[in-house]
Amino acid sequence: MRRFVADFLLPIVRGGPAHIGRPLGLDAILRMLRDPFPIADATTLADLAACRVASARRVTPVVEPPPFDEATLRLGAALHDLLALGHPELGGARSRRADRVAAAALELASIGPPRSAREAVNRHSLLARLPEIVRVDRTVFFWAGRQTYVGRRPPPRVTALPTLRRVRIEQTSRSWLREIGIPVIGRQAFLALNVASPLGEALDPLRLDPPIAWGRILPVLRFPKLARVVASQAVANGVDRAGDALADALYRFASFHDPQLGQLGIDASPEAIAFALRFLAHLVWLDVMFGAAAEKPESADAANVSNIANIDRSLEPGVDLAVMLTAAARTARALVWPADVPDTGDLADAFRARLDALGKRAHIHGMPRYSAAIGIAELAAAPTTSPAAFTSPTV
Amino acid sequence: MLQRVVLGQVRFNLPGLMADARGIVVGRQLAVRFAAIDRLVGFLRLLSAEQSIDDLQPGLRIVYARGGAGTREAIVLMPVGSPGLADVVSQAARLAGGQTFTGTGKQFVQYRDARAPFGYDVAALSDAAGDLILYGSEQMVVYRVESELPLAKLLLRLSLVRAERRAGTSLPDGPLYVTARRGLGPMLAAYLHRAAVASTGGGLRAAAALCEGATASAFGAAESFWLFRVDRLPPRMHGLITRTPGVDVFVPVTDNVAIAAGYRHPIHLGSCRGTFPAERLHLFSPGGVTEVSPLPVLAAIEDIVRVRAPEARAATVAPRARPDLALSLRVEASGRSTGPTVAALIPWNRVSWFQRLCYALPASALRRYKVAALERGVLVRANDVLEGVPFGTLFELAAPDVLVPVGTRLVPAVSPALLVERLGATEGNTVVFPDRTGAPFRVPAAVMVPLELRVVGALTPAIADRIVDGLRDEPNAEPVEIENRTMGPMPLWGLRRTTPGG
Repeated sequence: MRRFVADFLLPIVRGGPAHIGRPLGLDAILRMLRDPFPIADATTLADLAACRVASARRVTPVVEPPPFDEATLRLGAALHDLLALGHPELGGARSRRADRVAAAALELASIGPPRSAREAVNRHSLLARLPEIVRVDRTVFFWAGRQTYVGRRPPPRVTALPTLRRVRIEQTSRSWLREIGIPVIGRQAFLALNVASPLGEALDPLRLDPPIAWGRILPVLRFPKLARVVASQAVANGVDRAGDALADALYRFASFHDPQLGQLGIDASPEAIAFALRFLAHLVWLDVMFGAAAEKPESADAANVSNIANIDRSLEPGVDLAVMLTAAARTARALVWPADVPDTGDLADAFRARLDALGKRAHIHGMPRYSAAIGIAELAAAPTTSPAAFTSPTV
Repeated sequence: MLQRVVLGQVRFNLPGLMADARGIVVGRQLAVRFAAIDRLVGFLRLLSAEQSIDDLQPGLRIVYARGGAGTREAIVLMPVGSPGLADVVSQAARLAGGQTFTGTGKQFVQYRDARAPFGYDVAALSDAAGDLILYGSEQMVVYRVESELPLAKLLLRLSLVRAERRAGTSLPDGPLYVTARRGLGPMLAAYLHRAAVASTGGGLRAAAALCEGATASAFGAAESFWLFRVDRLPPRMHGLITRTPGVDVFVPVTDNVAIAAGYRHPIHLGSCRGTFPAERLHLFSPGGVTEVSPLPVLAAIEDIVRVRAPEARAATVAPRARPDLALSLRVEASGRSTGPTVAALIPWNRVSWFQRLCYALPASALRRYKVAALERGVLVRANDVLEGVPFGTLFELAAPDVLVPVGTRLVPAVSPALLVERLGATEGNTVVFPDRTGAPFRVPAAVMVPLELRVVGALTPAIADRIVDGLRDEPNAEPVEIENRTMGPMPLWGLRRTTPGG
C-alpha cells in the first residue's frame, strides 16, 4: 500500500514518474482498506491530500482535504490497471491476461456517479491530470544493435561505455490519452471511470476519443455550483466550439447511441434532454451577456463568395449549436428562455437577435440535421409543465 | 476511406492532425514510402539539394517495413519542423517516385495533392496491429518494421559517382587533402616544402600528420599513411599530385568530410554535417571510406622537414592514453571494530520492527537520535554511540561524518581530513558506504530530523494544519510520466478470473 500510494497515486496528482506494476484487483483494495497505513508513511498521505486540494482548488474553493477513502483507492487502482494494459510484460492488449486486467479495472471503476458536489470534486482531484499522462519510449542504439524500452528507463548495463559502444538514445514522449489511446478491451473500464468522475469529461467537451456523452456528465451538471464551473469553461473554450461538441453529443444521447454502461449512466428521458437543451441555451445566454462578439449574420454576398471559393462552411464551428437551439426555440420557447427573464429589455432584445442570427445560419447550413433536432426538441418539450428537473439514479 | 479536408476544418479523426495557418492539414511527422532503395537515394539527393538534412535531425529515420501484401519497402520518417517543409519533402518524393504521408505515431494519412489541396483525413481509424499504418487514397497498408537503416550508414555505403571534368581546371582552388603511402610521405613533404620556399608569393601552405587507418582485427597492424592539408596548390603541381601512384587527392566538402577529386557523392554531403561525428575525418574514395579517428593534429610542413623524424610525429598525431595514478576507494574487511557504532541503515521491510522498538527506547535516545528516510531504508544516526538497535546494517566512523559498515575500513588509508573534503562530508552532510561493493551515497543535513519529531509528528493534529497551510505552494507543474516496473513471474497473482458481469 505504501508503494501504491507513494509511487503511483501521489505522482498521478503531483506529477513525476508514476510506477506501473502488478495489476490490482478489488480484493487487494479491500485488503488495503482493512490494514492501517504505517505511521512512518503518514506524511505521504499528507502530501497526497495537499496535492489533491491544490488540484481541486482549480475547480472550486476547497478548505478540507479530500478523504483517503475506498473511492480514492478504487479509482486510483482502476487507472493503474488501465495504464498497465500498455505494459509490455502483459503481452499486448489482445492477450488473455489483458482480458483479466480490463475486467478488474471495470470492477474497480464501477462505483457509479458521485452523489454530491463535494464527492465529485474529491474524485476529480485524483484524476484531474489524466490528459497530461505521457509515456516515454526509449530506444538505445549501440554498436551491436538496438533495444527499445517501453515506458522504462534503460538499465545502466545497456548504456555503459557510451563512446566505445557508440551508444545513442532516442526517446519519444506520447500522450497516453490522445496519442497512445485506450485499448479496445479497456474501453468499458475507462467509460466507467468517467462515469465515476465525470467532472474532467465535462470540463473538456472538445475531447475526441472517447467523445463526450451527456449520459455521463449530466449527474455532475445537476449540482449548480459545478454546472457553473462547466459553463464557464465552455465559454472560455468558445461557445461555438464547445456548443458544437455538446450539441453533437445530444444527438447521440437522444438516439440512445451512447455506450451502454448498465445502471451507471443516465438514460435519455424528456427531462434529461430538456435539461441539456437548457444548458446549451444557458451557454448562449452567457455569451450574449459576457461574450466578446455577437453572431455575424450570413449575408448573400458572403454566401456567394463561399460558393465561388467552393468552401463548405457547414464545417465551421457553431452550426450544430445553431441548428439545435433554433429547433428548440421554434418548438418550445421555454426550452431556451428562462422563466425569470422578462421578454422586454436590452438583454431580451440581444438574445432575440442572437436567436435570429442562429436561425439564419441553421437555415443556410444545417438543414440536413434540422429535422432530427426538431424531433429532439419535441421529445424534450413533451412535459412542458415541469422545469429542468431530472433524477439521477441512486447508487 | 479518405475524406478531403475543407478550409477551416478543425476536428479530425486521425490523432495528431492539425491545420496550419493556410488551412493545410499536417501532422507532427512525415512518412515517405519508396518501393526501391534507388528511389530513396534519389529522394535524399533531391531533398539535400533543397533542404539541410541536419534540420530534420533528430527524428529522421529510415526503416525497412513489410506491408500486408508482403512487399518490402523503404520508409523515411521525419519530423515536421516548419510549415513549408512538408511541401518541399512532398515535391522531392514525387520527383523520386515516392509517396508522402503525414500523421503522428504510427497512423499516417496521405499528404495533400491536387485533388485535395488542404489534405486528407481518414473516415475511420483502423485497429490493425502493426508498426505503421499508411492510409492512402487507394488502399490502407499496415506495415511491420523489419529493420532500420541509419542515415550515416547509408551515406558511408553509397558508391561515388565520377564527376564531369571541366576543361582547364582539374582541381579546385581551395584547400585540399592529400594522402600518401607511408614511404612517400617524407618525399612529398620535402617536395611541398621546396615548392613553398620557391613560391614565396604564391602562398602555398601545407601541414601534415601521420595517421592510422582502421584495422579489421585487433591483432593486425593498422596501415598508416600521411595526410597533408595543402592550401593554394599551384596548377603546375596538379598533374604530379593526381597521377602519382600512392598519392590521392581529396576535396573537402565540410570540415571533416572530403571526397576524392574527380568524383562526387550521390547525396549532397554539405547538408548532412550533423550525420558525421565531429571527432573523425571521413575520406570518401572509389574504393571505400577511410575514417581517421580522432581528428589528426596537423603539423606545419617545415617542422616535419626540418626535424626529419616522422616516427616522433606519429606519436603526436595519435597520442596514447597515459596511465593515471588515481585510485578508487575500496571498503575492505578489517576484522575488528575501530570505534563505536554510530548509525544503522534499516531496510524498509524492517521498519515495522523499528517502529515497535521506538516504544521501548529511552527518552534520551529519542531526543539524540536522528533519522532520514531514504530510498533504500531508514538511516538512524547517533552523535556518539547508537544503542538499542540490533538489526539493519550497523556503521562506524571512518572519518568525521563518513560511515562504513562495522568491521570494515577504507583503503587506501588516506587521512580523514582529506576523505571528508573529497567525499563532501562537510556542513553536516553524511557520506555512507552501504557495503563492500555498493557506491557511496550522501545524506544532506536537511533531511536528518530528530527521531522523536519524526515519530510523534505524524500523529499530532498539528500536521493536518500544516498540510492545509502548505497547499497553496504545492507544485503541480511536473508532467505525469508512466514508468513501467517489472511485474515479476506471475503478474496476475491475486486477480479474480471471473468478470463482474459473469
